[in-house]
Amino acid sequence: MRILRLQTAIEFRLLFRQRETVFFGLVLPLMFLFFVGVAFRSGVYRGYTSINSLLPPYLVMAIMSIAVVNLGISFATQRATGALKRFGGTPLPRTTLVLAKVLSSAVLIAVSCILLAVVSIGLYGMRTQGNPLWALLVLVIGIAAFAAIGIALGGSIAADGAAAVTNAIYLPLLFLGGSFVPVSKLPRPLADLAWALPPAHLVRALDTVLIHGQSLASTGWDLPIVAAWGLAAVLAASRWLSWE
Amino acid sequence: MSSPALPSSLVEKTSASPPPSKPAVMVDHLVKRYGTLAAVRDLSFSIAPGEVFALLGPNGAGKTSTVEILEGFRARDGGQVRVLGEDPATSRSLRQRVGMMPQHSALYPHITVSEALTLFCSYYSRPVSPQTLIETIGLADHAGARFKTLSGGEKQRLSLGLAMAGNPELLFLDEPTAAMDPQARQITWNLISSLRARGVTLLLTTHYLEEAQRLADRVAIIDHGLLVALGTPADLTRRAGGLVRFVTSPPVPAARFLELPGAIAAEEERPGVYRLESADPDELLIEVALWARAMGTRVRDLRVERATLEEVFLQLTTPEAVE
Repeated sequence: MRILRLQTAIEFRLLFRQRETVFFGLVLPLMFLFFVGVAFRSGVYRGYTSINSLLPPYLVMAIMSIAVVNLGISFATQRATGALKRFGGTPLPRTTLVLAKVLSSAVLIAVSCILLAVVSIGLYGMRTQGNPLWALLVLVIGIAAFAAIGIALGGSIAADGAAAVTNAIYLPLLFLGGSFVPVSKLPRPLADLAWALPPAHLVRALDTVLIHGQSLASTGWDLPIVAAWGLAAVLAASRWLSWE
Repeated sequence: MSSPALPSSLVEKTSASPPPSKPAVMVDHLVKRYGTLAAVRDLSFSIAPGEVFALLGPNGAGKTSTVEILEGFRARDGGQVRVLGEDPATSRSLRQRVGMMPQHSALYPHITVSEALTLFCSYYSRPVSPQTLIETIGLADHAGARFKTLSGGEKQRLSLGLAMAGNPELLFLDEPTAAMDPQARQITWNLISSLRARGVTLLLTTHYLEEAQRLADRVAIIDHGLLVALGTPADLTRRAGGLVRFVTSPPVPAARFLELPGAIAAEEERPGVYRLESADPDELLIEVALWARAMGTRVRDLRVERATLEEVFLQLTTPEAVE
């Protein structure tokens, strides 16, 4: 427990020393929220959605930026350089190492979510309602699922193509998660694809409990689908994860 | 030609044979294959507690494969290995007692020296203090420096420090002084000597024969996954034979010296300056002296010249394939 705490603290500090992480995890979702908010105010999105519903897609963007792209690339790089093997030679259990990486990513995501909430409430006057604990629970399930996907990717792909592979997954997921256009407005085949993947469900679950203040039960199948993707990633990782 | 056994040769002979106490490391008919390539073929040796043991060999000889099997990173394909009495393939508790310095020191690029040492010390049940450790490895001035800003030698020293974090009984050092400047190498050699003085068992692989000669109690030379020589550095160089050199006045035809027992080759380098080859140059030196006394010839500068460990190494191993 003491080791997990120390390892998490150091992994978290290291996240801030990498400019890419800070930009893609903290700055980019804020930039998107800002530009789309400006566009919304000018009337581009009128009739699509309420301004309140702008927040959830960018919370999910922050989760995916940090848990899939950053965690995936850094894990693949640390595997390739032999940094992970170095830890493998010590008594530090591998599960503790992975858990520390996931937890430190989760704390960074929390920072990103707070920034997004402050900007959306302060700048655009968005309103949230309902039980914040439900929103927190939805976020935790989402972070766990996407972190599992990030680890499964980072543990199996080659380091020199890691940025390309993770982004080839991340960017379509952003689109299909409603960060550019609300999923409800996507044409049929794209919408079907979107509802087969986790981001749209996580966005809708957050929208349900955080923006519309409804109960957890009214998120329906959204959370089980997100969790199922996470579970599939855990199974894939336990099968294909390599440490060097 | 039976010569009386000299005490020194006896001592060396005993230490060259398998150590009598329960070994710290035991490798018995080890086999490791990568596909059809046999990296290690039937390798056996053992290391006594407190011993400094060097594994020498050209690139691709199977050094790192052997060390990584002993570290528990790789599975073996045949034979037995024991590390501190346990099987490294299955034992997790071994990690508390064994320190490892891998061949290419890698770490998080942005972690600082003191963070890395503190972190690694926290993994062990009876660690060295990070403060002591940073001073021991001579990086106290670099406590706040990030790993990626360190020089090659500094990275290696930090890597050695991390390997020492848990007060290990046994240390595996895979090419500990590769990429080091002479000063950093000296610091590392001193560190290894002080570890040995504290009774730590060390297995090191190296390309530097001088390093093996200087640090190791025993040296194993492997080539193509096979053991080709095992013994103390002095024992190995003696087995390779040597030269007897001397000057006579007046000069004598060199062929005369081939009649001396044990002389394999004789060469007159300049008139009156001779160089004889022998498997046992000490014995040949006596023969030359006796011959000179009997013939009434004046002999000066009579001396034995030993093969270096490097010459032994080159004799025993096949040159590395040009890639």
